[in-house]
Amino acid sequence: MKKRVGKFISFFAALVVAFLIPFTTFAYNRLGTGKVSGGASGLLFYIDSSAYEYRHSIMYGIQYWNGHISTVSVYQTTNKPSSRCDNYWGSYFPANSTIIAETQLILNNQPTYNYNVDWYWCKIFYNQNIYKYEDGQGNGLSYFNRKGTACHEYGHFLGLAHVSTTACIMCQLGSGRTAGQPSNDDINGITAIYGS
Amino acid sequence: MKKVKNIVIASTILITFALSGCNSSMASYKTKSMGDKEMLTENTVGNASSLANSSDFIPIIDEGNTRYFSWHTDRIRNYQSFDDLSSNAPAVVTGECIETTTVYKLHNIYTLSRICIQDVYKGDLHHGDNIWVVECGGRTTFGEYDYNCMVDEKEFENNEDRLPDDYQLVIGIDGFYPLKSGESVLLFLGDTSGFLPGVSDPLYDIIGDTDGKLYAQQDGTYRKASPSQTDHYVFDEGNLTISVEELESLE
Repeated sequence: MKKRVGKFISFFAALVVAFLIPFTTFAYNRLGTGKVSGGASGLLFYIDSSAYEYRHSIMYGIQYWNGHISTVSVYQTTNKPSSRCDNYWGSYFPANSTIIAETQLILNNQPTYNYNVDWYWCKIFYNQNIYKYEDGQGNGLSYFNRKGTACHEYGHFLGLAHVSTTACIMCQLGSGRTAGQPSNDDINGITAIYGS
Repeated sequence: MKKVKNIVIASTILITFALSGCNSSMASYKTKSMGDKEMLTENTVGNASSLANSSDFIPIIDEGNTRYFSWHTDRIRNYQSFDDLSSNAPAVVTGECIETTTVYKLHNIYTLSRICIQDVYKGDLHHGDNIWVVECGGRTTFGEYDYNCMVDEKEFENNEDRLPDDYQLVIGIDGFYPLKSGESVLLFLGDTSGFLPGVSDPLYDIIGDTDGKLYAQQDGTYRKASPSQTDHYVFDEGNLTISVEELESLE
């Protein structure tokens, strides 16, 4: 009898593992079937003078997408016309906004309206009321979270939408994001879009 | 007999677990097919922040002569309950949007709405007051947008397919769009006076951007809209709903 119970428990445990593993490896959402036109390898980003103070968190945050798959890589440029991702920092949001940053996708000098078509480039606007050094009074963001937000916004540019899995960079900070850089799920997302 | 009973119980437990496992996992990460669109969507309750999370996600958002689009954000906080909103909002009012104006600042678009206040549940405002509320996004023509938002030309762009100047644009954030004239709403407001340089009157904004904006329903309650590809909102039953009785408890 004990042997049978043991067998039953083993079988039960195997089933649990079998059911859980396949569904936890695809926690990403796409904006649509669109992506960065021409692919996402060797793209350039530009940091406007308005965001100079926070250039390190923006630069490292965006570059967290490097080194995972060969089809996605990004480097900083000072030549704005060649940049695929322009970063600005300023008073873009009203006082009670909870927006840390916003990504605007652009195609043919127009806002991208349909995420099933490819887009060329983006603008990222950082909120000066929130995207700033921590002041010890509960205002501002840690370096970890500033980099995380830059990384999150570039993830939108790559074609990823929000998720609620807190270990993913594409989870909003307000929804409990714990990640500071792309997780395996996020990488699965860009791999699905651009290939490996 | 006992053996058979044990097998039946064990099978029942297994099947129940397997089914619940399927539901919780597969429903969370199911693949949704819509025509030529194949998209992984996450079916989470109460997360209204992602377009892709909307059960009514439709990829085509050109309606007649109007093009809708929505920016994507990262937020530091989401207000999802009545208590959360009411405790953080200096003013809670119901009213009607009687006028909207599109304004620009730093090459971004905003909507300035005049709200005629009906009831005040919190804050130093009064019935009949007309106040200004600013929101990100707006309604304009492509010509106006192009002129005011000054989108840079890039060396890699082919700049084909430019929209006609009179083409209507509606710009929102995370699937929510600014107020329109005639809409009756419940607003959780804060002060943002001075945000728009040309506005000297007291200026209000909505707590948590779109979180603190609920629309009047026929049954007298106010309900948050679901994120949408257009401003023809759907009000799903699971969305935050606030009754007048709850509002009166603030007074």
